[in-house]
Amino acid sequence: MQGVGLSVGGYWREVWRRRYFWTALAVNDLRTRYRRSVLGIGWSLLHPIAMTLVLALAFSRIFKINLAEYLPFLMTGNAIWNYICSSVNEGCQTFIRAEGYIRSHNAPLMIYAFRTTLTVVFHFVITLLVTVLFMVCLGRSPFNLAFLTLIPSLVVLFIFGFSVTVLLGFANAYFPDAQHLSVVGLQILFYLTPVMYPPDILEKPELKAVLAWNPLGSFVTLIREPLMYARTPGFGTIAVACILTAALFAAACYVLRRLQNNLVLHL
Amino acid sequence: MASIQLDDVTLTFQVWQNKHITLKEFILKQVLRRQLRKTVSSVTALRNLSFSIEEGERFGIIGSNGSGKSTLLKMLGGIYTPTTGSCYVTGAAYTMLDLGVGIETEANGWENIAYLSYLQGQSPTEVKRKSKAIAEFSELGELLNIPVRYYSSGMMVRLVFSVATEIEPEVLIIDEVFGAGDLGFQDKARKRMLDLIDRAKVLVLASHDLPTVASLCTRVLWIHKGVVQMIGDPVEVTEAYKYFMQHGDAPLPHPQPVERLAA
Repeated sequence: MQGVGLSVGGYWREVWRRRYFWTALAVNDLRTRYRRSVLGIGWSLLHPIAMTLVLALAFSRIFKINLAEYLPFLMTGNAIWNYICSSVNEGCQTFIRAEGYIRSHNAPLMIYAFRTTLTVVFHFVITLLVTVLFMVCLGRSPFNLAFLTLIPSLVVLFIFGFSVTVLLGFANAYFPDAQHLSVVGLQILFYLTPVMYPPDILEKPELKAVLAWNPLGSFVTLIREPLMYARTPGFGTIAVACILTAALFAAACYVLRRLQNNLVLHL
Repeated sequence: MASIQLDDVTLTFQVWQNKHITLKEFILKQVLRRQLRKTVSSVTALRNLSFSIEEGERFGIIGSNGSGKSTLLKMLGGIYTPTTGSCYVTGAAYTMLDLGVGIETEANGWENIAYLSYLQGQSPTEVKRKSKAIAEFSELGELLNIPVRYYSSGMMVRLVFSVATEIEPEVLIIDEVFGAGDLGFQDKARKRMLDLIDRAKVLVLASHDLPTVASLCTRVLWIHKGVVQMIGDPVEVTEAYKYFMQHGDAPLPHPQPVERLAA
């Protein structure tokens, strides 16, 4: 049945019916990215590792911080920040890249967003694994009970990344400058998120007050607490992360429902 | 029961001169409550279309370039939604519109066969079972192992056509695919199409090939500038259309209503 809006259940059924499509394309995206390089998967890790090393060296010289302590701290922050950035950047392209499919097939737009999110999450998990490996090498094993909280955290992050992808995918299809604006926005947010600030600077009240207003910080804490300090993230952190994710997810679903049939006219 | 029902369907496209407005402009407009650039105009691609197609019919659509044929087919395929009016398609529909879009250029032929099948909701087992037949029909052989980015447009058409016709839909919507590939393939494609047409419960076909339309279809619609001109007996309608095309100044059965496009 076409020409009438599908029910919510019907929509999800259509998405599920095409599950092999978006999973296979996500695998294809990952393979394509690595196929033509000797380093293979190492390529995508090169950037975060290089960035971490540069920052670590600079900061350890300037602030005289213990590298063994600071490096994993920075890596966890970087991993999550890269995940957010990739969700934004890849998200902007998600529907534009799927233009050929959208123009010739009647399928739920959600499947193209899933394709994007799956690849972005895959990179994130790889970066986290490298971080864990690194920590083990440094002699500070992150494996403990708090480590298990990473599993629900990953689920929350997946939904967060998916929602960002959908929202920016639409934004960029309707307004071609959305990507430029979001790059600038991310640049600003980077300094308002506790990614590279050493732990003792974070304790300063001026900075603390500013950072408290940025909900993205809660995602960093969500990953960093169990990995670095073997602690379960605090209730406040979990609440902020979940509320932000739920709000974005609701917005994404609303936009999908409203504009599912309209997007094709704007590509 | 497969069928198609259109009730007073009008489809209007908004056209931006520069294709898009930017987010900056959009926000400025919201904040300053100022009028957007006056570049928004609208084009009515389909105007007050009402007809229905019952099971067992083979429905042909003819009309000159820009008459609204492809737009109509895209709407029947669920890609466009009517601006006003309603369009119901009952039964699993499959559209064969633009061959060669929606292809992963970095993946090879086999992989693209799988992706296109998955998009139709097929499972890997089904694809495994069918892909040999698809490959055979496409005659691409060894070339299926190289990335599609190296394919010529003819090869691309062979690939997409072979996948598309392996799916057996209840409602089949086709736009000008008889011209697929080289002569040898065209012949094969034509046979395959006729085969498929026999099995589909409802067929909608748009084409410039009037003899084919007249011989294949049970009813034909002539559309001109988004308005239905004639609908009925294939021979009668194609003859009227042919006459109109040969005598450019011949009066239309249903003249285009005089109306200025919104500025």
